[in-house]
Amino acid sequence: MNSSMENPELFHACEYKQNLELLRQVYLFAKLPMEALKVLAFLCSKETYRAGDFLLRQGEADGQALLLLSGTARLVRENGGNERSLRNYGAHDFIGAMSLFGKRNRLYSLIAATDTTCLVLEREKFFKALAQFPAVVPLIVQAITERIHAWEEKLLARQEDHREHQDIVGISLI
Amino acid sequence: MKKKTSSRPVTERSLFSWVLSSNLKLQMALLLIIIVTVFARVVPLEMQKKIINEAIFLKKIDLLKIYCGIYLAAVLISTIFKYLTNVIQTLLGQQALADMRRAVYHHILTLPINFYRKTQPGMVVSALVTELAAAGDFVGMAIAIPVTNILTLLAFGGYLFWLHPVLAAVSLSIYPIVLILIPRLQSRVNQANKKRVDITRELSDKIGESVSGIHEIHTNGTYAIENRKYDAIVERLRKIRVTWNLYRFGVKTTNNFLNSLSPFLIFIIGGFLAISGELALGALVAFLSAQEKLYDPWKEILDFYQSYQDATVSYKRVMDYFNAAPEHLLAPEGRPPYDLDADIEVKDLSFYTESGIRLLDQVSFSLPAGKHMAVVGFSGSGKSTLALCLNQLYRYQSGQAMIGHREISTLTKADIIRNMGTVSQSPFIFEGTIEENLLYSCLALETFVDSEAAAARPSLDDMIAALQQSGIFVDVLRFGLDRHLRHEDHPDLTERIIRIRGAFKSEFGETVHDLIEFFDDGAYLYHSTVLDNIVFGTTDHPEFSGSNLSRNAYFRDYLETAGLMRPLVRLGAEVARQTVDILGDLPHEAIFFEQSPLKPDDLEIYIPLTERLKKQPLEDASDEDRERLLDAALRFSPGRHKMVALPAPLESLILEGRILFRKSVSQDHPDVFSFYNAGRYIPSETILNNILFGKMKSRHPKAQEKISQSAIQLLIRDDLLETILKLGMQFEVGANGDRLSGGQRQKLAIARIFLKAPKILIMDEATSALDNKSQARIQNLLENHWRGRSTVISIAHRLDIIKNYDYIAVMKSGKIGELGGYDELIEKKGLLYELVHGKS
Repeated sequence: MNSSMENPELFHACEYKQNLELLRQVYLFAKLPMEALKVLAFLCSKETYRAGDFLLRQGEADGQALLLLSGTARLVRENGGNERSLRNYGAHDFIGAMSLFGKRNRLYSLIAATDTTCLVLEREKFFKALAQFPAVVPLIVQAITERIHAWEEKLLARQEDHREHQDIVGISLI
Repeated sequence: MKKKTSSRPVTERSLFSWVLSSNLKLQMALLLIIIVTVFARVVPLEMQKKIINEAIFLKKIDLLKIYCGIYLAAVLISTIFKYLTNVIQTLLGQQALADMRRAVYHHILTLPINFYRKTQPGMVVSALVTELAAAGDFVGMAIAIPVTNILTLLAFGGYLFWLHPVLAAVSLSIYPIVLILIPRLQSRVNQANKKRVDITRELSDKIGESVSGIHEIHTNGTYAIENRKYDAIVERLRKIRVTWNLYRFGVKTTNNFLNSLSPFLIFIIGGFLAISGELALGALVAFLSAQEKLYDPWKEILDFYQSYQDATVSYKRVMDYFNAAPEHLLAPEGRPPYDLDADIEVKDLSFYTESGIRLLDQVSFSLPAGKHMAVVGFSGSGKSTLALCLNQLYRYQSGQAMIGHREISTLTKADIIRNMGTVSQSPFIFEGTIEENLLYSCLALETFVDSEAAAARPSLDDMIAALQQSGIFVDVLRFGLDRHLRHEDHPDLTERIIRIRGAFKSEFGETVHDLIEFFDDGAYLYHSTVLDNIVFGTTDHPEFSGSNLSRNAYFRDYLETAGLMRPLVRLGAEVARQTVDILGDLPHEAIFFEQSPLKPDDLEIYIPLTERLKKQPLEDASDEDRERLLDAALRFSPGRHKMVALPAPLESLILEGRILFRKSVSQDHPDVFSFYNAGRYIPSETILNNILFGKMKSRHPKAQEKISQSAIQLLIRDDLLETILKLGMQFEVGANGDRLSGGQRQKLAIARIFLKAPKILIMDEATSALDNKSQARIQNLLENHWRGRSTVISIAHRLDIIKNYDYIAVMKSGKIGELGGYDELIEKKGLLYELVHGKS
């Protein structure tokens, strides 16, 4: 028998442990207690997409959030037949938190620019897990609030630097 | 459903009415038995006296025999009858409890929705399950206990007086004292107990506070301060507990003391009387025995009083809690439910909440039969309230709402059920199969409508049509494909599936290649279990299948030879440890266990097992534990169960083991296993896996859809769709339908109403959990199939599906602000325009 098989470390290089590490680095989950995080990491699934595949599709209510692990994906907004590429996402980008909280149709499509792998968390699973750890809810709400606030602060700072003013501000005031 | 409607509601019945309504014959038998028992209890005393006075004293052997015989007979009779009393008491009590549980449940189900808004499900559960039990037990003993004991007391007391009136009066004199003293002491006990409960709560709060604030205590080093606070409470608790216990023992001691005083009185006075020759010795003995026997009935009466108090309190609490009246009669009396015209007329309809908030304010509209109306509006505008008033879930306070010219509030539930169907926002799916849930609304018709008028049960074709219309068809097909078939039950079907397997490989093999892990002799299958990877075949021999295999001596020997035993047990330990760590504290819901090799019930075994593994090395684990761990390892499949990774060396060892296994089992047990073979059906795998001759790598909906679509094409070509669908309809949806997704639950709810095909259809945001395509399809169906057949009121959450409705009602703060056709209202640039295009 191969002696290396006796080494318990071998079992630990598993997907669940990796998921746990990855989720801990996502702003939304960073402050969660380990018990809740473990369940979320366990309920995630890893998916692979070929270049050109849709990760998310505009108008669909897929009810999932994605954490990109590798590859690049292109965010696209389609309007009356016109496609507009908005930005690219890459490894460690976490996309679609809103879909974890409520059912809404996607406003954008996300298309794999290269072969892409990502971690998928579905809303139904997320809710089931949340129901088991009610103390986690305020932490999640706080994380979202901070995120929206920080995002808008940055936006305002940029506008003020460039002395450009648009009237679509105030998301943090919802 | 057909019940006497004139009888009093169950919640207003007294506890004693259950005694009266119980089986009278049994009650009479009980009384008779009690009288005989009491008589049989007194006889031994008299015999005791006669044995001493007449037989022993006068040395008459024959009298001794006779009296002893009578004594024995009396003891036997009283024992047997005492048992009979218990039997009857149990029968009465359990019957009463069952009757109460039924009556209260039947009553609760008819209570208005409003009642449930204020009620915790847990409260209803504990009322029906626990609290009524005390009341039921009480009904069982309500007659037997007091009658028996009072009669016994009277009989013994009478007997005492008959023996010697003065002595009797003296020995019974203690009871008035007990009656005065005990209640006073008891009230002290109660007071002390109340204080004890309060201080205990204070103590719990303090502990809770310290635990939550432990960071602060450590940071500030305030150990002594917190200890002082805590210690003070503990001291107060100690004092009150001492007081409480002393009073409790006081009650007991006083009672015992007073009761043992009477023999003393009897000895001193009776002894004197016996010496002076006024009382025969036998009579004194009988007197003493009778006096001693007073204690038990006395105590039982006191206990009975206590349980009477408890039962009345809990019974009254339950009944008061549920003391509400249904808002509508369940079924009409003296006529079948109406077959109404499907036009709806609403005039000045208003609805307020209990606190007086007006949710509907003078709503008026009329909708001719067969026309469709969409109700849209801002949130909180009263859309859903309108739907709930129309289907009788809410009772409106003023105005009129009429179906077929009859006022809804005067109709019975049966009238509504017969003519109307509703799909609610978040429909509930009950435990059972898809088929049972599909028939749920239709079967209700049978319970209301007279049997001859009952709608014929829907045919299979109708059911399939409903599944298709609601869009759950593919899901059900998918459930069917996930079923297991036994070759001998479906020999023809399995043959055909093998043929489809061939077609699938040649037609779709290329396009779905990276979604499927095909069964391949020489490769490790990450989406199959370790067991399947070793055996690479199936068996129906019980000793070689399932969890028996981990105990099977032949298989264990093989594992040792192949060098697999040790690493597999180690793998099993890791699987068990991780699974228990992640899932150990979670409720047994299907969604958590989808990706776990251990099922919820297994945790009972594996939680203590992993505890043991923490304390001792794996090598020292018991044989039984090692079997369990082996079993966990054999069920592990790395592609699905992500809590552990399969070590690469073990993987290649298993692959080598596969060849060895096949070789040795073919020699030793040639007929036990059938190995995976492209030309053979695999009964241990699902139908789908048999078609694929492999397993899907991803459970992601998109991947599933892609493969299902290909499989379905082939099923259609082979005319197997209906067969698989029938299998799929037997899928168990789980408690609350939790094995279905939100979308599937909503589709199933739509399907069951489409199957019922009501004249009036109310859709309350009925498609909100569906994807765009499904929404559009159902909208299409409403427009093309149901227009003209059914009157439809659709509370719409989205504005892009309402264009083709005959009428659109736009609601704002409880009123209908606009009513008309889509184009007409948009042109008006009023509320609908504002909703669609936003405030300008």
